[in-house]
Amino acid sequence: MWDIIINPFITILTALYSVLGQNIVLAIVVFTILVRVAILPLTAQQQRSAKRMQELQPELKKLQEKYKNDREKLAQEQMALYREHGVNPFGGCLPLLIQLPILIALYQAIIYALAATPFQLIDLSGRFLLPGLDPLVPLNNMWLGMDLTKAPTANPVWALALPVLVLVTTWLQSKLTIVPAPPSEDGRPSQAQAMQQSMTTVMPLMFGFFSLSFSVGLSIYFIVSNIVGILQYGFMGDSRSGIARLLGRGEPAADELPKGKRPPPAQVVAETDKASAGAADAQANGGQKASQPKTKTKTKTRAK
Amino acid sequence: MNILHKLARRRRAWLVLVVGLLVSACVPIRLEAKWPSVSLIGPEKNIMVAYHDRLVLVDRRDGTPVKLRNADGEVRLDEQGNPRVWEFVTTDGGQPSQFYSAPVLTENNQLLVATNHNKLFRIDLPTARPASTAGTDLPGAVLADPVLAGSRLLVGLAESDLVALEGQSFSTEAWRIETQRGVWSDPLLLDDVLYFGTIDHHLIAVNASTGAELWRLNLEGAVVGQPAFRDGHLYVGSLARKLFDISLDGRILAEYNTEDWVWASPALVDGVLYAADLSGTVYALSVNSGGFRELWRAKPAGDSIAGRPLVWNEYVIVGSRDRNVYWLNRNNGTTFFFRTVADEVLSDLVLIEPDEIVDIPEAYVIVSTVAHGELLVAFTAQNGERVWTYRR
Repeated sequence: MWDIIINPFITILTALYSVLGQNIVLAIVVFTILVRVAILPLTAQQQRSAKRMQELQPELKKLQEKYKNDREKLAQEQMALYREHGVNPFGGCLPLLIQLPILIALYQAIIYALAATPFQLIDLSGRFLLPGLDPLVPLNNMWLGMDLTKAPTANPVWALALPVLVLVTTWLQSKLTIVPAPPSEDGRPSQAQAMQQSMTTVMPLMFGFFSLSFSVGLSIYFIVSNIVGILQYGFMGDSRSGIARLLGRGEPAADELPKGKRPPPAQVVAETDKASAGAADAQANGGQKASQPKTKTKTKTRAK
Repeated sequence: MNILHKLARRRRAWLVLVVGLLVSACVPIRLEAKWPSVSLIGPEKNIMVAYHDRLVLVDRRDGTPVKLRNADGEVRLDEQGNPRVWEFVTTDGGQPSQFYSAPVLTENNQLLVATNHNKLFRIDLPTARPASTAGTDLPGAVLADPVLAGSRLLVGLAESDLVALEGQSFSTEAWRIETQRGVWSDPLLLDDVLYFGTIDHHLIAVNASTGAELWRLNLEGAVVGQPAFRDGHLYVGSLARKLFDISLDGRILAEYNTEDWVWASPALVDGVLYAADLSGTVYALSVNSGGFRELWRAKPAGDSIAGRPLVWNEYVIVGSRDRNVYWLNRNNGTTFFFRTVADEVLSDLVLIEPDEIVDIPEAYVIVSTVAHGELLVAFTAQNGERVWTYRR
């Protein structure tokens, strides 16, 4: 089943290698960029969906509190809320489900194309969908004195910089792009928050560790993919909040955001419930900084 | 609605699923570099299997590991009273050494075996004891079978050159032929000339005594099979989807287009070249009148054929990655019958001739798979009956 995606990828990668002066690193870089650009609409949709869901969290919390003893009603109200705001609760899943196989196929295509052993090379046979690529096999896998098919530890010492770069770029990307979940009603970190925190810590370490034993070619793919992800995030806007998160300052205040990025006009309501106030504040700040309960008059956003 | 609610609460399960998917995608495609190498060794012609982390000698009669015996011919026993068997397993820096090339037997009953971890071991065949447990360092990893030329061992290095090693422990380099990408093809030694293919698309001829390169011929694709020889002609395939007829002075005399990459070495019997490619197609080509004349081509297999076809009586027998072994009609390529094994067949098939002295009443075809649970299977060559199975 994977071959349906992998074989065209291998063909394109090898064709790029051919036209780019038989430079496999250049081919990996260009191909990774092309694939990431091709799935950009999906990435953007996923980000938007995640953001919207985030903005609805305070409202959802209230509904959960209100209908905690009536699950059916809660579900109906949640769906009504989603409809009212034009949000599909699974809107973020579908793009992710589509792009994940694509990224995995890209990763696999690089492994196949960099065939370094008889088993790997024989696995490459019959995968080219264009004629004339056979004479290129096996692709030249040396770059800057490094054998791209081998792990950094089996390469010159400078190859060890690659796992570090993988770690750093993975951390940067996850820090920038993962929209933090709100805390729970009592102000303590929610389960989702804890999971996100561990994701942003564990994932970079995991990938950095993997890169120590994976081939250098894959490290290059990870790095390029991460950098493209970071740049995409920057171009898609909302980079200020990402940078704020990166610097550990939480989200910028609504009035610090550019005009187009500000939330809808707030409706001032009298609020006595501290927890609700915190949640409303979080909503106004894009789901952030809700951990400190406020005692002043609060705002409540009702996007229509 | 409840489903929606449940799904929302299953975020952790989703996370585990996604991470699991990522990790599964990160697993290397293959742990092994190559498939088993199977050869017949010594005067008793038992079956030597070099695969992954060990060498094993298997009795050709019944597929059991050969038992080690003392000077009186008695079976040696280990501490638990079990028979000691012929097996060589070693590690290099904590990692198991990887054996993929067939050992070479010297005149004084020493096996020379090169590993994919840059080591050469000298093992006493009767006792299975190495001359040195540390082995001798090689200048690179080895996947192709080495060749003994006089007192020199000619070794193709998987990622670089072909070297001639000499001296007591073969630690001295006598000469070296440079290649750009390495040697996976088993070299052919003929009248003191060594012919071998290279990953960088060449067939090279070298004077084995002096190391002088005689010629180097570009075959448009990587050359991974061993050349076959007949009447002053070399026959070899390449990954350019071609078979070549080459003169001993390095000229291409004829070409034949195949459907896919040619990995397997061809077999030459009675003026007919039997070859196979990675599409699973088998070719019978007459080479009697110069050039190639196609007698038949057939596609019995649903996947690659990487091992040399075995020609016996009226059969051409091939093993495929589709886990089947096919008995084809030698005259027209139609399939007589096939037998299924546990896993992919990529190695050359080996024929065991009948030998009444050791109670082998008829010819066997030895098939090697990449499954440790069915590393060797012996079929009768005539009707494909399974005789024995060797499991690691």
